Amino acid sequence: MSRAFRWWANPWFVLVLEAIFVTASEVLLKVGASETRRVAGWEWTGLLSLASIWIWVAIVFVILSFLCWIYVLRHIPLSIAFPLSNVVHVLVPLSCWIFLGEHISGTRWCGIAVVIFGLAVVAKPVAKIEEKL
Amino acid sequence: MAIFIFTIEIAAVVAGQLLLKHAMEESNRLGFRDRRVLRLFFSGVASLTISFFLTIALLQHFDLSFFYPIQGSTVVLIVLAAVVFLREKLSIRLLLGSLLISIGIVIVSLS
Repeated sequence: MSRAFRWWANPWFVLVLEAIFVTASEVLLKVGASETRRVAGWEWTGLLSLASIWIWVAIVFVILSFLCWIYVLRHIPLSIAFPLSNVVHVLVPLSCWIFLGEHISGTRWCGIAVVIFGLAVVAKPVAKIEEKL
Repeated sequence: MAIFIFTIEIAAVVAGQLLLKHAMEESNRLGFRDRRVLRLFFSGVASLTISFFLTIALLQHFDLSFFYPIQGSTVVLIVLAAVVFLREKLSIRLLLGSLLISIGIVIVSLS
């Protein structure tokens, strides 16, 4: 990983982007699914959710996140990239709280804090690698 | 039966990520159009697709709150698998961080 990257091609930046795309897709899937849940018949297949524009936008985000993940895997060890990609378990509840007005219980806040602590523990040696990039 | 499907589902996630990572490593050396790289890449995609449908099958029988914490364990499993099969470096710090993330996911999903 001694190659120099432009900021937008930096694998760590793309990893953050991947997490944001996953979060956006999850939130939009929820919005789209809620919009179309009252349509009668075939509701259990999930196919009628395709009537919502948000589902299509979410699908675009899913594809973008996969492309980002492929790029990340090309440059970052899986044993570091995968744990860090779990930042979505912090971003998704926070986004649901901020954008969808969902309630987060005290226990869930504790869980989010533990995940953040774990991410920090994994990310500290990463910061040293980044200095070498 | 359920435990069997759980095991296959988690194995498919781990295998899928390992295959994708291996494909990307090889693509650095051989280019993305190499047959070996493409074989690894599509095996990885196939493995993740299997895990996706097994997840849906499991969700039809179990609550998300029961199923999700088990998913959290994939963090540690993928780190260990990457160390064993891809010979990536393991540090106490990485293992500890991954464990904390797994525990955090379990707490988030149980609450």
